[in-house]
Amino acid sequence: MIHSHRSRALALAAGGCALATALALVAPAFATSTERFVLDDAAALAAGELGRTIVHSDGRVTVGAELERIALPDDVPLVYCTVRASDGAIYLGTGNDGKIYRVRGSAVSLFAETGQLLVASMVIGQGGAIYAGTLPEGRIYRIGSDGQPNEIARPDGVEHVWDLAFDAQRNVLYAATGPEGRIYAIDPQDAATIYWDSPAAHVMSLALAPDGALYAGTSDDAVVARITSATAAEIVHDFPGNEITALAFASGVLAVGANEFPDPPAVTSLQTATPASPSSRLPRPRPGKGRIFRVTSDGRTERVFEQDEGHITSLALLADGTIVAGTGKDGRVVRVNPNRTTATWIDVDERQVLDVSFGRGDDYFVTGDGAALYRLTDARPRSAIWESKVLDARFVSRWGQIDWRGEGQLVLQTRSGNVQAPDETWSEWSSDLSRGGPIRSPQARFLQVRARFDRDPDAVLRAVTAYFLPQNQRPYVTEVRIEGANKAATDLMRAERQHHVPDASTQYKLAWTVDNPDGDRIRYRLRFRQESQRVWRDILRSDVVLTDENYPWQTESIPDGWYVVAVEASDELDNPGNLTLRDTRQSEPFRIDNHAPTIEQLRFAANHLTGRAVDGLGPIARLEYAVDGGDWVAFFPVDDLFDTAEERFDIDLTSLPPGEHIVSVRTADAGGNLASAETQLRR
Amino acid sequence: MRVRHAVPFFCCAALLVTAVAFGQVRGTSDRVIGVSEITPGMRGYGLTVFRGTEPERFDVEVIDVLHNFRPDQDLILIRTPHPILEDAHVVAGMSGSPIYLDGRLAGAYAYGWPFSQDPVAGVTPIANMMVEMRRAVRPEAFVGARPLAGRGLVPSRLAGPHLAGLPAYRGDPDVTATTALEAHAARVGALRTPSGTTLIPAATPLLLGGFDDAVVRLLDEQLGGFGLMALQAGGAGARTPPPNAPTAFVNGGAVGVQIVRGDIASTAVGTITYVEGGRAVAFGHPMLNAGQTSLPTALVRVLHILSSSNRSFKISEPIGPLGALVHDRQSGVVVDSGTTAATVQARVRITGIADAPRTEWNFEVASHRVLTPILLNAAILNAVAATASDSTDATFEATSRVWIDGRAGPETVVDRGYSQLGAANAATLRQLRLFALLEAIYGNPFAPAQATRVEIDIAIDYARQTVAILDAAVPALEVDPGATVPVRVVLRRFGRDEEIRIVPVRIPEHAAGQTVQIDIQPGPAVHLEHPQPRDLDELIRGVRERYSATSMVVSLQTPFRGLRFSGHVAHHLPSSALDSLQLTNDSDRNRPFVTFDRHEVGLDQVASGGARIEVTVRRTPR
Repeated sequence: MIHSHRSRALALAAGGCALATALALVAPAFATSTERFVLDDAAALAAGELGRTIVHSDGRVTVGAELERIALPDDVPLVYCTVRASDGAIYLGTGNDGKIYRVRGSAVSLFAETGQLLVASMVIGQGGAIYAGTLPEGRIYRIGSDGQPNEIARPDGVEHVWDLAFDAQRNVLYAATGPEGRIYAIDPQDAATIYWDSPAAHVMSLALAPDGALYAGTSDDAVVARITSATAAEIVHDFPGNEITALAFASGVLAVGANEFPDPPAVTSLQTATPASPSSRLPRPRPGKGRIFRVTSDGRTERVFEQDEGHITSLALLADGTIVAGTGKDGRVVRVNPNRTTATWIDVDERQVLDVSFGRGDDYFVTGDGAALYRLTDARPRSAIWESKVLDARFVSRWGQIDWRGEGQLVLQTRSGNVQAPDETWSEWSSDLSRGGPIRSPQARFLQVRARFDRDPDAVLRAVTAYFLPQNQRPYVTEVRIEGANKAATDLMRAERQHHVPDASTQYKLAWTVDNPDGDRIRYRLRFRQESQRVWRDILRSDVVLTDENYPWQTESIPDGWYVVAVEASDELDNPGNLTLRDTRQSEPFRIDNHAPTIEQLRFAANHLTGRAVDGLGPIARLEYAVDGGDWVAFFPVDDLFDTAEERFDIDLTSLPPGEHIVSVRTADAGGNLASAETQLRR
Repeated sequence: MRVRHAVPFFCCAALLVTAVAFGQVRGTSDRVIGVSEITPGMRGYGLTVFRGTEPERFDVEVIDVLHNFRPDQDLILIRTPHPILEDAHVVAGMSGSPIYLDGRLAGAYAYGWPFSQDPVAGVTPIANMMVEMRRAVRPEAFVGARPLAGRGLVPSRLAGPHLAGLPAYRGDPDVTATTALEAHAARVGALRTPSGTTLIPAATPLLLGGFDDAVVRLLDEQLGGFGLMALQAGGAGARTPPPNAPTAFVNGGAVGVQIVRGDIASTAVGTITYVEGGRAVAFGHPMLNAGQTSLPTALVRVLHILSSSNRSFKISEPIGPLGALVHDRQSGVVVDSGTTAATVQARVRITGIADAPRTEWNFEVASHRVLTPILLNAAILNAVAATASDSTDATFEATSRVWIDGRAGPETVVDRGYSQLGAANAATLRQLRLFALLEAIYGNPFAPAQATRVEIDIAIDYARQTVAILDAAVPALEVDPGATVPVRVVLRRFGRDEEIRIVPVRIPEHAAGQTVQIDIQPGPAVHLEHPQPRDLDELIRGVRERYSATSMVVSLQTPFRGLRFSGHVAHHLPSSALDSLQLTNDSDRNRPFVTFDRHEVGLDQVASGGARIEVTVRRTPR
C-alpha cells in the first residue's frame, strides 16, 4: 500500500505540494523519499470500517443498506442462531444461559429458557413448533407458543446439536450433532435414531433439498455428504480446510461455507479453578480462512469467495443465486453475486456475524461478542461513510496531496496521530475536501482517511492516494571493526606452534555496521589519525563514493604507530543537502606496524653469539636461530621477556662441534615483520 | 455520647483514639492514663490471676515508652519485680493483665522477649484497646452466632460475605485442612521462629486436653506462628464449676477462648484487661489476627504458674462458657459476654480395629473458616492415633458427613486411601475431601453458610489393599481410525501375581492421521473439569464429583478444546464454536482446556502408579 515516489521529494521539500506532480519530471535524481498510500483495490478499501457502505470486488465503494439495530439484554453475549416464524416473529437462540428471545417489530422479549449453555440451532416444525438444539448436553427441545421447552431427545454421547432441519414431507426432524459426528432422525413420536454416522467428530451444518436429500457438512474434516436414507450417503465433495460451518440449498445449487482453522491454541490440560486474573491474555484461536463454494446439481464445485482472515459462519442462498454470508471476524456480511463478483456488504461493530436470514421477506442477521439483531431497511442510510484502516507511514511524516478517483459528489476528510489506535490524542477529522488537495491534518506517523457519501447517495469511490514525506531518519554507525589489526600478532603466536613465521600484511580491512531506520542509501567517508594527533586525514579520495560497509585499507605508506579510524555515514544520496543527516563513529585504537626490525651487533666470542634485535615500534616478539641451515630454534632474550622494542640476546653455542659453522638469527616484531642476519664462526 | 452508634466505625475509631489519649471519654477519663503522661521510673501495679480466679497485684516500674512500636501504637516498657515473675519472666497467659500507673489504667501486659533473663515486658496502651472494644460489629461475620435476649449485634455499613479475609473458594481441588490457615498466615504475616532479640507477643497458652503428643506437636507447628503455645495441659475444664466461681469477666481475671470442647478440648488462655458493660478487652495483642470473628469464650480458673527458663505459662482450665470473642485485632481481642458463638458439633468414629480402647469422640469445635478444618484434622488424627497407631500398611475409608445450617440432610463424601506409615498419617488425612467441603461452605462467594455438625467415620484395615498400575500396551502402535483398541493394562496387587486388565478404547475417526495419547492414571490424579459454580450447591457438587481412589481412569486426549462457564462445561468444541464462545473481554476463568475421552475402571483397591502410551492413527482404515 505504501509506494515510494522518489521523484517528488524535492517538490515537497520546497513546500510545493500542489505542484509535485508537475515537477516530477524535472526533479533532480537525488531527491527520492516521497512516499504514498494507494488504496485502489477491494482488499485495501475493505480493510477499514464500512459505515453503511459497500466495497465491491472491482474496487468500488458505494452506499450500502440502512440497518436497524435491535440490542439484546446486556447479559446476553451472543446470538448463535435464528429462525423466523410464519407470523414474522424472529426467534433468537443465545448463550450463555441457553435462552431464546422473540423479536416482534423492534420489541425483544424472553421467550424460552432451556437451562443449557447455548441454543446452537433452531428450526420451525409442524404446526409452527420451534425445535431448539443445545449444548453442552446435546438436548433437543420442542417449544410451543407458550415458550415451555419440552425435551424430546438427548441421544447418547451427544454433547452438541449444531444444526436442525425439518423435513415437512416426512415429518422428520434431523439433528446434526457432535462429538460423535452423527445425524439423528427424530420421528413424530420423538424417537431418535442414527440417520448418518460420519467419520468426523462433528456434523456442523445441514441443508434440506426439496427432493428430501439431506446435505451435511462436517468438522474437523471438511466434507459435504448427501444423504437420502439411513443407508444411503454419498460424499459430495471433500473441501479444503477443516470445518463446513454453513450450507444452503436453493434452485439446485448448494452453497458451502468451508473454513480452514489453524491448530487450536496450546493450553494446559490441568483444570484448576484458580482465581481469575483479568490482565492475563487468553489463548484464542487465530482467525480461520473462509471460503465459499457453489456446487451445482451436476457436481461442479467452484470457489466463489475466499478470505484469509475470518471464517464463514452462516450462509443464505437467494433465489437468483446470490449468496449472503456472515463472517467470524470484524462483524461483516459478504455478498457473492451470481456473476461471481463479490462485495463486503455490511460491517457492524460486533465481532462476529453468526447467522443470516436473507431472501425470506425480512432480511436480517444476528451477531456475537455483542449480541444484537440487525434488520435491513429500505431507507437510504442517514450517514454513509467509508473509513480507511489506519495507514502507517512508519515515521512521523509531513503529509502532501490527497487525490481520489470516483464519481459523484464525495467529501473526504483525514485525521492523524502518533498511536496506532485512534484516540483522543489524534487530531479531529479535517475540514471537508470536495476535490483533491493538501492533506489538512498535522504531521504524524499515522493517517486515516474517510469518505462521506451524504451529499450524493449515488457517488462512487474507486481509489485514494495520499502522499507523504517521512521525516528523514539519521543513520547510526553502531560499530567499527578493524579486521586484521591484531592478525599479525595472532598469526605469529599460531606460527610459533607451527615452527614458522608468517609474512606480515600491510592491508587492514575496515568494517562497520549501520542502523539505517528509513533504508536510505548511505555514503561512507573514512578518516584516520594517529592516536596522539588531532588532525584527521582522509582515507578515500573525495570523488570516491563508498557505499559498502567495509573497505580494504592499504597501510604500506603509513608510519608505524597506533591509529584511530573514523567512519562517517551520510544519507546524502537520498536526501537534499538541507535534510541530509550524518553520523560518525571512531574505532578503538589499533597498531600499524609495517616495518621490519633489525639485528645488530652480531658477534661470536667465547662460544657465545650475542647481538641486539631492534624494532621501530616494538615490541620484539620472537627470536630464533639456525645452525648450518638446520631447523629454526627459538630462544629468549637475555632478560627472558619479549617486552621492549630492543632485546639483547646471547646464544650459548658450546655444544656445537668444533669447526666452521654458519649461524643464522632471525627476529619478528609484534606486527609480524621479520628480519634475519647470519655470521660465520669457528668453534 | 455513644459515638459508636452515631458515625461509621472508622470515624469513631479516630475520635476515640484522640479522646482516650486526652482522657475525654466519658466514664473512663478518671480511670485511664495516657501514654504522654507516662514517664520513666513511674511505679504502679498489675493485676493477674496467679491461682484460682481472683486477680492479684504485682508491682511494675516503667522503664520507658517505645513510640510507634506498631502503626499508631506505642509500647510501654515495664519491669515486673514480683517473686513469681522474677523466676518465670514472661508468663504465657498473662497477656492482657491490666497495668495501672498512678492508680489509673495504662494498658495491658502483652509483649516480651523470648529467652529474656529479666522480667521485662511490653504494655499495649489502653487507648488502642478501647478503640477495638467499641468497634462496630458486622452481623454477617457471625454466621450462626446468637445474641442474648435484648441485645442485638451492631450493624455497620461494611457488608460482605464472611470469608475470614481470604479469597473466595471457587473449587480448587487441591484444598487440604491447612489451606485456609496457610493463606491466613501469609495474609497476616504470622511469625516464624522468633529470635531472642525480637519483641513478640507474650505467648498465649493453647491448653490441650485429650490429644496425642504427636497431635500436640502438629498443632504447635501450625499455630505457633501466631503466638499460640500448644501445651498438653488439660483444657477441658471441670465438669461442674467450683463453688464461688465468678459469673462475669473482671479486670485482671482469666479468660479462655474455647476452640474445642468435649472429649477433646483446646482453650487459649489470656487475661481480661478492662470490662465495660457487656464487652471486655483482653490479651493486648492479637490471637490469630483474624479481625472480626466469633469464637466461644469462657471463664477460666488458674491452677498454677509453671516457671521455666524455656517457657512459663499458666496451667488453667475453663470453668464455664461465657460470651464470644468478637474482635481479634492488633491491640487485643474483644469479648462480648452477651453473644454466644456458633460451634460445630463433631463426632469422629473409628471402626475396623479390634479391641480398640476407644472408638468414638464427641466434641464441639469453633465454627471458623481457618480454625474448623485444622481442629477437625487434629481431632481425626488424634482419634486414629489413639486407636490405630501402628506404623504399618493401612488402608482406610473415610466417610465425612457435614450438616449445613438451614439444610436438611448432610453432604457426604467418601475418601479411600492407603498409607504405608500407618493410618495416623497426617499428610494423608489432611487431604480428606471433608476439608474441601468445609472450605466450600465457609469460603463460598455466594452466601454466608455454616457447618453445624460433622461426622467422620473412618474404617481402617491393616492391609496393603492397593493396586499399582505398572504398564500399559496396545497390540499395535498403528491403528485404524474408528477402531476399538484393547489397551492392556498391567496391574499388581500386593501379594499377588501381575494382573492384566483389558480396557477397550475407541479411537475416534477424526483422529485419522494423528498421534493420540492415552493416559492410565489413578482416579484422584485426574482433575475433572467442573463448571464455574453459580451457588453453594454447585460448589459442593464440584467437591463431591471426583474419580474414586479405587479406580483407574483411561484418558484419550482429543484435539478439541473445552470451556468452563457458570453452571456448564462445554467439551470437544470445534474451532468455530470455540471462537464464538470466547468473548473479547473474557477473563482468565474462561481459559480453554484440552478435552479427553475418559473411561473409569473400578479396581476395588486404592490405585497408584500410572502409564502412558501413544498410538499413531492411520489416515485411512487398512
